[in-house]
Amino acid sequence: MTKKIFICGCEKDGKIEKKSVERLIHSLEEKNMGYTYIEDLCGTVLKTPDALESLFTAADALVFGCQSRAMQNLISNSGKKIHENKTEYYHIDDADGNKLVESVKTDNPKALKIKYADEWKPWYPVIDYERCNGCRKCLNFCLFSVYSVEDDGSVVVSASANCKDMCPACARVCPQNAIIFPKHAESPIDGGEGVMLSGDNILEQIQNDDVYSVLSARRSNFKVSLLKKEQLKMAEEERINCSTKEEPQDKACECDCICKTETEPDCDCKDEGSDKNCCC
Amino acid sequence: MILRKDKPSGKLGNGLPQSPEKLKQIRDLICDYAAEKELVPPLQEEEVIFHSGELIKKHPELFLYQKLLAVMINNHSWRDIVSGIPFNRRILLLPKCISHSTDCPAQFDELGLLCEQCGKCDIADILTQADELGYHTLVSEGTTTVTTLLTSGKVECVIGVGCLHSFERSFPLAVKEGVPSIAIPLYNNDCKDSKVDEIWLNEVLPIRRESNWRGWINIDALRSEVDSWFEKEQLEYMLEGDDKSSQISRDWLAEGGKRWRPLIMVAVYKALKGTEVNLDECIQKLAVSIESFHKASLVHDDIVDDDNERYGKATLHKQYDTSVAINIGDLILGYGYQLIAESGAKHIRKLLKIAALGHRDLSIGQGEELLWRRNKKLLSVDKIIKIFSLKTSPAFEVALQFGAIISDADDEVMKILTAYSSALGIAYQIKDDLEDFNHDNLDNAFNTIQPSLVTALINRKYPDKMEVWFKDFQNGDDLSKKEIWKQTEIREGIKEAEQMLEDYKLQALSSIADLKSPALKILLTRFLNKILNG
Repeated sequence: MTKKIFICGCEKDGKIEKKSVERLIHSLEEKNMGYTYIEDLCGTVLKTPDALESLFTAADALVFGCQSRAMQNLISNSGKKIHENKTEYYHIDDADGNKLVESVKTDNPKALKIKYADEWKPWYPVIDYERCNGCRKCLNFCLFSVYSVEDDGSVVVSASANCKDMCPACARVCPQNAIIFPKHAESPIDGGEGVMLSGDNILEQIQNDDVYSVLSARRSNFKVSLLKKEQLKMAEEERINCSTKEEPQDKACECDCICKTETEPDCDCKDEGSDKNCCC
Repeated sequence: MILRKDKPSGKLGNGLPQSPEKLKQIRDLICDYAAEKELVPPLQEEEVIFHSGELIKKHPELFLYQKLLAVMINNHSWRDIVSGIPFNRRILLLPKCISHSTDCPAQFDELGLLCEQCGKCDIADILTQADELGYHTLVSEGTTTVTTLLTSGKVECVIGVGCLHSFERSFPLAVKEGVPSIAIPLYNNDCKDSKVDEIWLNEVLPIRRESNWRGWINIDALRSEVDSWFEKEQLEYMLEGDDKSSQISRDWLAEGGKRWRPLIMVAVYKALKGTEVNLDECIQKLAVSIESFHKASLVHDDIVDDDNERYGKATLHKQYDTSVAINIGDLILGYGYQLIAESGAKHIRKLLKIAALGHRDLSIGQGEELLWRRNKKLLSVDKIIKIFSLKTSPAFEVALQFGAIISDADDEVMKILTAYSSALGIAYQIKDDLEDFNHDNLDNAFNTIQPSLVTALINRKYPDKMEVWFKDFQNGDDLSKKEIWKQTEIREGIKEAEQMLEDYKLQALSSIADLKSPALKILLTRFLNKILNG
C-alpha cells in the first residue's frame, strides 16, 4: 500500500519544533521515501490552494504538522479535498504517526516543496463543524467581521485576513470549543485535547444573582487558588531542595573566641593553609 | 433636541492622539465646552455626535478625533454622577489585549482573564490600584461579558477601557440601561499588546465626591416591594369588607400581572426624591389605586373580548358570569378613587383629576374601537394610532404623573411625561400588533376585534389585495394555511410597522432629552427599554 506523505513546517511564526521536522525528514530520506514539504499549510490553503492539489486529490495521504484536528478541519473547510479519499493527520511528534512511517511505502522517492511566499502571517480561525452548533456567538463577538452566515444558516470564516494577529478571543467564547486557531500556543484553542476552564456558569449567575457578590466571590476564589498554587509550587521546590542538597557540616571549632560573634574577627584559631578563621 | 432617526455616519474621524499631554489638552477643552451646556445623562448617540460636531466647528484641527470627542463628552456628562457612586458599586473593565500577547501566564474563565500579577504588562498595576480603592475588576476578552453586564440591569457604574471600535458596540447598551459609565480608549486598535493612557486612568479611577448619588433604582428589588403591597392581608387592611364581592375584588387585585403601573409610579417618586425616601402608607395606597384602575379595565376587557383566560386562570366572567364580572369591575374602579381620597396625599385634587382624565380617555379609546367593530371596516392608519394613543398612553401617563405629583415636580416635568407616555403607549401597542403578525397564527392579526396597524398599512398601499384577503378571511378561509404571511405585501407592511415602532421609540427618547433630573432621565430610558424589549 503506498501513501503520499505531507509535512507542514509551520514556518510563519513556527508552532512546531524545527528539530521535529528535521528528524522526520531525515528518517524519510534515510529510507529513500518521497514526501512533500509544505512551508505553511495555513498560509497556502488560503492564498494559493491550487498548489495543494496533490494533497486534495491524494487517494491515501499522511499529513504531519501541528494538532491533527486543526489540520483536518483546515483542509476539509477548504472544500477542495476529495471527500472519499483517505487522509490521516498526525502531530509531528506523535509516536503512532512516526511508527506508521516505518511501515508505509511511498511511490516516488522525490522530495517536493510547496512554498509560502506571502508576508502576511496566516493567523485565522478554523471551525470544527463536528462541534459547531451554529449559535453565532462568534459572529456577534468578532469586531472585525471575520465570520458570516451562509444561506443555509451555517457560520463560516469568510474574511480570514481581517482577523487580528494573536487574538483567539472568539475561540474562548465559543460554548462548543469549536473554534481552532492552529497557530495558538495552547490547547485546546490550537485544536489539541482538553477543555476550556469553566467558571461555574458565571455569566448566568451574573444575570440572575447580585452582580457584585458574584464578582467578589470570583475574585476571592481566584486569590485562594493562586495562593494554593503558590504554596504548591513552594512545596514542590522545597521537596526538590531537600532531596538534592546535603546538610552543611558543622565545622565550627571548639574555641570560645570572638570570631563567633564578630563579623571581621581577628582571632588566633586560623584554618591551616589559609588565612581565614577556621570556625567562621 | 430632536433625535434624528437616520443612523449617524460611520465615517467619523476615529484617530487618537498618541500622547497623554495631547489627550489631557482635549479633555480640558471638553470641560470648557461642557461647562456652557447642560449635559444631563444618559445622552443618546446622536446627541454626543452632535456635540462632538459642535466642538469641531470651534476647533477644526480636532476633526480627526471626532469619535474620541464623542466618548469624552459622554464621559463628562456622567462624571458627576460617577463620583457620587461608592467604589464598591463600580466595576472596572479592562480589555484582555493589554496583557502580554505571548508571555501572559494567566488562565481564563467565562468572564475573562484571571491575572496572576506577573508584571509583564500593565494590568497588574491597574488592578492593584483599583482593588485598593474597592473596585470590582474584570479583564475581559471582548464584548460578551460586557454585553451581559451592561444589559443585566444590575450594574450601577462601569469604568471601561477598550478600543474605540469596541465602544461603538457597548455604548448603545450602556445608554439603553442608563448605566453611569466612563470610557477610556486604548491608544491602538490592534487587539494585542495594547496600551492605555495611565495618567487619564489615574485621573478617573479615584474620582469621588463626599456625598452619594441616590438616583440608581434597583427595579427588581422595587418590584418585589411593590408586590408585597398586593398580598391578601395588605389588601384586606386597605380595602375592608366581608361580603363576597369585596373578597372577589381583592382576590382579583392580588392575582398576577407585572404591576408595571404601580412600579412606574414608585420608581418615578424614588428617582425624583432620592432612593432612600420612605414608601409609606400614602404611597402604598396610591400604588394600589393605580393598579385598581388597570385591573378593573381588564375585567371589562375580558368580557368585551370574551376571553377565557388571564394569568393562566379562568377570567372572572368565566369563573362566575358576565353580570357578576361587570359589577366587580365597577367595584374595583370605586376602590381606585377611594384609595386616592383616603391616601392623605398633599395633592389629592390633582391626583383625582389625573385619575379621572385617564379613566375618561381610556373609555373614549375603547369606545372608538367598539363602535368601529360594529361596521367591520378597515380603519385608516391615523385612526389606529389615535386609538392606540387613547387606549394605552393614559395608563402609563397616570402612573408617571402620580409619581411626579407626589414628588412636587413642576409643570415642565409633567409636560415631558405626557409626551413620553404618548409615544411609549403607541410604541407598546405597535409592538403588540407586530407580535400578532409575527406568529404564524394570523387569526389575531386579521380579526375584526382588534384594530391592527399592520393591516391598515397594507390596506393603505395595496387596497385591492387587502380587499381580497379581507373577504377571504370573513368568509372563514384559513389564511394561515395559504401562508399568507409570506406575501411580499404583508412583509412590507410588517417592515413599515417596525419602522414606526422605532420612530415612536425615538420620539419617546427625544421627549425626555431636556429633563433636568438625570435620575428620572435614566429611569425613563430604562423603562422604555424594559417595556418595549422585555
